[in-house]
Amino acid sequence: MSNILTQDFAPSSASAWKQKIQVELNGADYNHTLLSKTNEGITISPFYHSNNFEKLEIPIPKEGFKICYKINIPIEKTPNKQAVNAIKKGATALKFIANKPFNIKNLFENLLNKQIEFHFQLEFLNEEFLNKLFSTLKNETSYFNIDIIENLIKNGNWYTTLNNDFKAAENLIQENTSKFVLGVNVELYQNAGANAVQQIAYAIAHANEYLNKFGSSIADKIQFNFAIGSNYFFEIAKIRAFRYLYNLILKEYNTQTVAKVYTEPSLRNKILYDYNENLLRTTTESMSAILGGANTISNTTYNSLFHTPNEFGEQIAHNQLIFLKEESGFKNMQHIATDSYYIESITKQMAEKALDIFKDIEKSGGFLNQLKEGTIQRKIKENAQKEQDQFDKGEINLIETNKITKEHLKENSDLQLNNFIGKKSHKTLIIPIIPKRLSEKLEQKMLKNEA
Amino acid sequence: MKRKDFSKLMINVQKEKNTYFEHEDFIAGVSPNLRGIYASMYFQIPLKIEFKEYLIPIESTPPVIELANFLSKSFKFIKNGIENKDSIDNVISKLSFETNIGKNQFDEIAKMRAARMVWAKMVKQFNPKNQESFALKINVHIHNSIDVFPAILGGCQSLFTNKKMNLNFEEETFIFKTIDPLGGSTFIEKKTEDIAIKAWELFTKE
Repeated sequence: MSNILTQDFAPSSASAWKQKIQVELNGADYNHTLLSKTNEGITISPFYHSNNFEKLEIPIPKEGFKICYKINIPIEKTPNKQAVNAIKKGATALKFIANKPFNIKNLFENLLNKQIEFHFQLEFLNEEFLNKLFSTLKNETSYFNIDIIENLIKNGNWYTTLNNDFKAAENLIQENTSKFVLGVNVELYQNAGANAVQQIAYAIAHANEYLNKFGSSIADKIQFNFAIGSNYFFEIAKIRAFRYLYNLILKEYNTQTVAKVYTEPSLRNKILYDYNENLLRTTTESMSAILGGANTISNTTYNSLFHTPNEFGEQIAHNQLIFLKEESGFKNMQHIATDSYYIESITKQMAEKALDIFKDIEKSGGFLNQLKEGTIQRKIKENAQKEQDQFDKGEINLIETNKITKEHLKENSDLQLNNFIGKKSHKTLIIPIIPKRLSEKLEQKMLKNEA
Repeated sequence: MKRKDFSKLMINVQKEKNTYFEHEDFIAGVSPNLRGIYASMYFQIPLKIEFKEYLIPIESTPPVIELANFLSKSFKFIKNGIENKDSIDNVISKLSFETNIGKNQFDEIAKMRAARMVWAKMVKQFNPKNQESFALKINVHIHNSIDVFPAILGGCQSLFTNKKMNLNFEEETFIFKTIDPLGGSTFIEKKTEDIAIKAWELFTKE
């Protein structure tokens, strides 16, 4: 059949392509001009060809992604109403964010038995409250994202103690064996400046602490929450490489799964000025998440950095995802990278490098041990600093921040939130990991000049 | 639980593709230019962006029909030129593919890859002397910022757009780091083949 296309022309090899490129380069050095070295230690070749094909067998979800609408309970006056509206507007998943127990009955009025996924981000560990929540949602698909290690990393201390925290998590797991009780929040590593390979390695090492403690039965009951940055193909490869590696270590636990992945756009590259730029960023980041095969995708609003949450912004963010899914051809596109020369190759390289880091972590006693020693924090800081230097030197561009003008400052001077996270001064067990945006330093300087 | 020993763990690399299409080993810069019209693509010849005050709308048609129409119009134009004693390479140099990005981004990427192949096949019948005649220049008219993505991933030569639109964000996404980044993808190669064959059949039926 495809003879029609191939009968008139001869195929070419990878080496023929390279030769042809060298002719076009007209004397310029091939390596210097065309190879790109990344902070992950991966070298991107200018072309990929079936002659040097390599891939891993990636577990990919059968179903396409769900669109998740986020609701911040303490800020919203009517979270239930907002949830009902979100479902009307096409949300198939809802994520509730809370910093203290809330009225469960009121929140879930008219929300149950509608095939909606529920996700939670709870900044407290209250067994009594959680058991009530579990029992309300016993017939629903829900992801509770209990992550005591993330809490330690974020705040520097356990909720109470290591033993108490693990005991509480264990109780919750034992009473709710069919539920996704645990979460591994990888977002924090991305937002603090870890590179893609580090994020994969830390996700696996972080999860392995739970597997080690609670055993293989929880392997397919963990949700992994990733933040997606702007490096389009690397972010696709990141999710795929992670899924591969997770199954690789699960072999040691005699089990396999297609890991549940939830994503949100990264904070790291968002800027205070120019809404539109953030809007485009979150669009391409959502595209990466879809093509990488995320199960559930949430979008952040273009103005979430500087405005308190508002329905208008949320609706735009939500519509971006609906548009991609229903209009732009992104429905059921989780397989797009399969057999592609470039993405398969970087997926393999990422998995290889992340596995090395994971092995090192395990060799020196595991993730918790390396957190106690401050090794993970130091490694993330090193990469974040590298990126910061690249940004300061203009090697990483954040359009409109590097090129900011006085007019922008005037136009967007209605900042409602403080976005510069200060250092906490209380005594901590480990050094906490703090999210940091690339443009913070520059924006602080600009705000100061403006005042 | 005693910690597992992961020190012997190895990734299992597969060297063969699961799917292979006959056209797959066409490269960039060699006809039929499946993966781009220059071997070094945007590395040496950057994407051209032209700002226009007003863009004349191009009618949106499904990729297969759009390509078949383009082939048949081009074919008539070339024949006409030759009848008027113009040289074949000179006639061809006046042609380019002016297109829009339709709704489905992946159809559009495949459309541009297919367009280059069927163009080379059509042009071959006239035996042009100049190799450049086999390389189809594609100009995409951008009506929406996000259209830039499929336009670049499909390997177009230039973008026409109006001044207000923001096209710089592709710098942050590193999509220029390799040529035809979706090449080999089962989904994209299948779609490319489907569009190319159907467009060719439609063109030759006329």
